[in-house]
Amino acid sequence: MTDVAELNHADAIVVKPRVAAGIWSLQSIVRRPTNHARLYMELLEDAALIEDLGIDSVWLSEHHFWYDGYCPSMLPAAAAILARTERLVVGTAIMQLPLHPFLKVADELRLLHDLSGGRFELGVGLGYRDNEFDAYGLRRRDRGRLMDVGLDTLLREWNMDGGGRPPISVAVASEIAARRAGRFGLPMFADSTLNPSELAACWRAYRDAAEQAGRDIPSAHVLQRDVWVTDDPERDRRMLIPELVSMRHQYGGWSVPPLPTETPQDYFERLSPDVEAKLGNLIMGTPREVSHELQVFVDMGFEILVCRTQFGNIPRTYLHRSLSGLGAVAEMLAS
Amino acid sequence: MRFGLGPFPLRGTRWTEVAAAAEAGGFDAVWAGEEASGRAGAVTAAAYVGQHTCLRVGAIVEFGLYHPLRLAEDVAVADLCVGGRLELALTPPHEAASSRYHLDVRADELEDDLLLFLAALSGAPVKWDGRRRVPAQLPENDPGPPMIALNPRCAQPRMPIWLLGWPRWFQQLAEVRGLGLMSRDVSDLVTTRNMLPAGWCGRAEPDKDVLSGAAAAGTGYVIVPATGPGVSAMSRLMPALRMPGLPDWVLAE
Repeated sequence: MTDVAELNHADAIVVKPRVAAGIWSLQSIVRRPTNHARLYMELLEDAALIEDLGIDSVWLSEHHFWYDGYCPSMLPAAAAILARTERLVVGTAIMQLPLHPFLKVADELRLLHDLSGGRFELGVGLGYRDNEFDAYGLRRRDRGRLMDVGLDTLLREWNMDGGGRPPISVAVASEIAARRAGRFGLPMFADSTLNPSELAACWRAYRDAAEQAGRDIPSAHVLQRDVWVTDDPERDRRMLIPELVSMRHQYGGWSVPPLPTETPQDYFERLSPDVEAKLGNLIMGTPREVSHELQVFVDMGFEILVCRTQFGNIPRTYLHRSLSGLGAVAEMLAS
Repeated sequence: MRFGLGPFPLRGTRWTEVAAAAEAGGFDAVWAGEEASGRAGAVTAAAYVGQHTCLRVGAIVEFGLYHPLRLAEDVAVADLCVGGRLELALTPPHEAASSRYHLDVRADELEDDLLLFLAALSGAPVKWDGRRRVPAQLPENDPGPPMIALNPRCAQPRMPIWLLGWPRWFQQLAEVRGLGLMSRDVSDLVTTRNMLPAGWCGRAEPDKDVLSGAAAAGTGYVIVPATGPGVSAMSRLMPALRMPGLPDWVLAE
């Protein structure tokens, strides 16, 4: 925690926080199979509710060719939300840019920017599942190069076009990624798995890289956290923890595939510490308690707080109760 | 006969007004088109305009500029977002778009891409060699892509797809694969012997004779880029074209 204290003291960053709701991934998970037509209809209803609650934005996520139909194409979904709402911002957390055709992305983001009056924000990351790269004929090991070309292409196309562009932030789950964001002079989108001292290290790497590249430090850095607002933690914990464990096993399995020589039992034991560590980052409590915990990250310089309240496909009664609480958090942090 | 209003360009179109005009005018669908603009986004625009209307929404897509699996994913999500009301017309890439994407797409490659796209939309597992879509300067993937299946699938059990402005020899492919043909040229309606175009997608507002000719030739779908008074004129023409032989007195105001 010393790192964090040093950072706060040294930089005295003052930002006006924007509380955001995430992450809608439209999954028909094995624990709660649902028709996808229904999931997309509910997405639009949830977005309208989030807007009514005074929450700043809703963020979507993508993966490809997964058993549960994880949303593979966020931009049409974003377009539908933007059409259904008037003030709500829609963001991507995260678009795996190396997997996408860059000119197409540039065109479509400009379209969304224009259609919505600037209510779209782009978060981009490298992607990490081998199968997703394989499916498009790409190699995962090229993802860094592809990301650099992709960001250059987006910025060049929008500069040529004029007329403004959607804000872009770059996913950061390591110091290497923080250096890339700094090199481009784009805000960070900090991963939910980073603890405060890791975040502080990323900030330092980011600033060094930005300075070396002669870039100004932009504002509007984004942070994602698992957040659950509740007035009855015991009741909600019984529902939530199995959902989180299941979700973390899925992501963990994607990041750390089993070894050919490993038994299933050994594999799950290897994953467990990582899953436990990530569960430890959950922020859970009343609106006041959650606001207090989030304020730490605001003080670190994160302006957009993407509070992940939707994990896969949470029962909607619980989801809407937590979102209502998140609305109260937004109000508290704004004041 | 069915009528679509459009295609409208992706940029600068006021979609809420277009959707309202299409509904008031009695059209069946509103169309967004990326043809000849070199700009992508018609499917995303259709997902947007579909929230402003209960009509069907169409997207004219320049096909072959990027990976067909990506298009299949966009189409599936857009169709889910509009509750299964999406329609597609695919055009071969225009010169401006090919040049912007640094592509020299050959017809046989387009056919391969089209088959992959259709196979993916079916939801069945597909496998392909993947070499053509690797960006320049990068080595191809090794091993090749695995067997994959599109998930989620479209809301509609089968996506309505027309081929618009393709070389004539694609007619056979359309016939075999259950696709419709659309033409921009009214002369196609009388000169095509083997297979009549199912639709006509005009570049300008058509006159009554053209539409009557299309109807008489068996064209089932007409997409017209009407605006303002043109929409009203079309809405007066449509009942007679929908039901040829209807006595004039039925339509008299």
